[in-house]
Amino acid sequence: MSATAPARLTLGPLLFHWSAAKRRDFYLRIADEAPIDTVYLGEVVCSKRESAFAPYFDEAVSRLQAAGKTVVHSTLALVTTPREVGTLRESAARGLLVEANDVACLDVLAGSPHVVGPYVNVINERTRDFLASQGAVRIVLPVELPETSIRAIAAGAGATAIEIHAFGRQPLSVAMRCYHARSHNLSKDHCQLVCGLDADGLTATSVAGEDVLTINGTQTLSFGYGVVLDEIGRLRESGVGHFRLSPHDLDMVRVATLYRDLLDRRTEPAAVAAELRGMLQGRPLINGFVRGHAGMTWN
Amino acid sequence: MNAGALELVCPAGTPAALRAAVDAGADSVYCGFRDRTNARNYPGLNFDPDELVEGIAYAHDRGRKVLVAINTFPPAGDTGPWCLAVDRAAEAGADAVILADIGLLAYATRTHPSLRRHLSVQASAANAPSIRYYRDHFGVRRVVLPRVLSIEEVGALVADTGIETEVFAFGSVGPMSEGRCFLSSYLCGVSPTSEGACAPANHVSYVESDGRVLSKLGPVTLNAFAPGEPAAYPTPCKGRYVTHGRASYLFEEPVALNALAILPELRAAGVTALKIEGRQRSRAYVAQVVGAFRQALDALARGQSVEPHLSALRQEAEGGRETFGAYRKGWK
Amino acid sequence: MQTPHDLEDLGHALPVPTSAPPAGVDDGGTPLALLQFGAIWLPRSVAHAVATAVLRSVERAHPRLPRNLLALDPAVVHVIPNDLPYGFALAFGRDPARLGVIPREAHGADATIRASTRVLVDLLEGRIDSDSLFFRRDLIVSGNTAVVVGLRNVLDREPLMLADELARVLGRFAPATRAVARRLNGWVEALQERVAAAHRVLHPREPDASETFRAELDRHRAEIAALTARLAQFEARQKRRDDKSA
Repeated sequence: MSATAPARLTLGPLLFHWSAAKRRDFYLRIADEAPIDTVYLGEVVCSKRESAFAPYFDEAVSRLQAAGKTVVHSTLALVTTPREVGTLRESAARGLLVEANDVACLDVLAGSPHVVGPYVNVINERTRDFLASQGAVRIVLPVELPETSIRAIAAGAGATAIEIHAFGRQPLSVAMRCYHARSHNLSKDHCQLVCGLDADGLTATSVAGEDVLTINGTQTLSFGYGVVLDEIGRLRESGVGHFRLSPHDLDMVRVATLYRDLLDRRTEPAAVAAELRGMLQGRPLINGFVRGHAGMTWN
Repeated sequence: MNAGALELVCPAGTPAALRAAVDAGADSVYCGFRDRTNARNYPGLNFDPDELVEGIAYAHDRGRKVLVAINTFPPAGDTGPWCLAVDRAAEAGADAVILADIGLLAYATRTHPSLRRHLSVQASAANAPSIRYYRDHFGVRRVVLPRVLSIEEVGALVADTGIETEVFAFGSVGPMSEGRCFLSSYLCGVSPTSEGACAPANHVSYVESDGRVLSKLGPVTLNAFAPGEPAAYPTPCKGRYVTHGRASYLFEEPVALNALAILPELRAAGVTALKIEGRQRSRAYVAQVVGAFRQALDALARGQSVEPHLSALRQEAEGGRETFGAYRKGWK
Repeated sequence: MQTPHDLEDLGHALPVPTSAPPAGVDDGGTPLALLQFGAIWLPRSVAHAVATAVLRSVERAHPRLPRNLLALDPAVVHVIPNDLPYGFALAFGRDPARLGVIPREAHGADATIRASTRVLVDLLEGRIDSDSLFFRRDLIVSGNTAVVVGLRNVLDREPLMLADELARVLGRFAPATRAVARRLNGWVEALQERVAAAHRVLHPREPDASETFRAELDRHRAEIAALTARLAQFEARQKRRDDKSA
């Protein structure tokens, strides 16, 4: 891929449990206003949340498509029950491009074009090539990878597009246990969907008072907001074509505009960082993973 | 081994531990090379190629098996050492390799088609389609199941896929989906996924502050202890965190999995093999735990109760506390 | 990182141990008692030489150990038994390993392990592993934890038993010292008999614990006497060798 290839801006799946009304408003505004090329829709974290958005799913898809955006259907990151497997099959049958976040989905998609999501470990060219041979048209790399690895994977990717996480709290783990429920002394089976109380997740602080992690149901995220800014030009040149913004309870249209301007060289990384910091009101930006350091750090 | 008996798969961080495990009654021993290619890459641990050859000879002479774990994910542009590890395991006569990375599975399938392949827990295959994917593409013969499934779910998977399954029976439990947890690298920069070390000791520190001992990983305090209270090792998922103004073991208490009491249920679920965790533990620990499980399995095979063998393990549990983990309802 | 010269210096800077063993000395298992009483009563230079001799003997008996110690990152670990008047410094990694005797308050270690001799022997013999290191109150690791984990893992690769290792070292000097030891043993046995006889006179009916204890203590004294004699012999030989090479 040459340096002149267009850089696509994508909106990753909403990781948090927002009310159906809030989600609907969010996606309709994205459809109307955000300079975003591709939108990922679908529940990644917990199958118990899936019904919440179902009534509005088709409406959001058609509005986004009418606005000229590509819609990809994201699927669960940790699949264990037969019912969840059934949901995967239904997702695959909808006709949208599907993002596989568990290897189960790769088996379900068998040979048809698909996206491999960041929860499937693709960290070297051998795995990339095997998945490409099985129909992966795009691979979203795990957030842990440093710039050197991203560039090495992008370099020989050929027709397979490479996408990276460029903005938002970084997914660090998935689990069967619900930590949101545990934090409220509830069991997962009787969780009352308490994860819906925290629009950007629940902060977990160390016993020494440092804000460290963000709890989002069964998922654990970084406390800081991961950004790829200074590296974005080099990554484009090495063949990374898609840059993912992860939805937060922020003005995501503004975030998308900043990144679009950065990709089109109408603004500088430092200016974007400054404006993002203003929007985040004290929550830090981090870039440790892409810089090859501890993920929680800013370098 | 009797037909239908559970295979006892035991850890060996050193050649001495391998001999201890075999002598204590392990049916199989798993081990790794002395580098990043396995998920217990700690200083002073693991096997040189010549030590592996000797270890395999020791086990084979006694009718036991050796499985070689090459279960980290090779980083981009540097997959050579992982391929070499597979080659060396094959040359040494290993009975199987335990792999997680799709690219490495593809390499092993192509280069060593007759070398038996097991799927590592690091691949986190927790459902039937995932297991089928690895079985059909890479000829995987056995799956080490993630520690997130109940006994009922294990039984359903065995029935659904017809593949050999190996489940964890004793040792440290992590609550996160294995192979895709970045907590350690988030805090200290070392990746368990590709460097094989979660919370490596050179990033761990114990600091005294205001009459308490703080255990830290990188710059972050993961726990605080009163003087004289045993200071547990600061693994990110076993730390104490504060939410809603209350400090708690948010992810997992410092407990050890002990499934000895539910061996009959695991056997009934159709499980092929039991895995003891702990390649980082001492040969004395290995001998003690393997010995207790051997006696329990022999009792089970004779139709006797396993209960009498429980007490032998109590003292070995991490922090002294035990759990059935996800095997029993209510853990989630 | 210390040089071998530093280790020697630390050894010679050691205060000469006093005669009375400190409180809490283990009077149980024989190799442990040997080690403790030996360490307390030996002149520092002899202790130093014994430490070196033990390390070399262990390395000869376990030929993979030197290689494994070399493969570790270079470091110095201080091992400070709670119940001895001095500690040990083990340097390893890159250069051949060195073991020396140091004052309890010595500085310059990458990591320090403090525990009773009994717990330390458990650690050496593989009964304590790197996970349980951190769950114990009776064993305190300070400094770079990774260094101690690496050392423990390397030691656990070998079936080390302190009794065997000491026997091997002492065994080398056995022919010359056996006669001395026999004479000393004879003297102790005679003493023991006299004590026992006196005891029987005083307490005719009690086959009691104190008698057993006294006998045990006497046996230990005998062992110490024998050990001291053997070590004196060893020291003399070492001195002759040093003089010759000088």
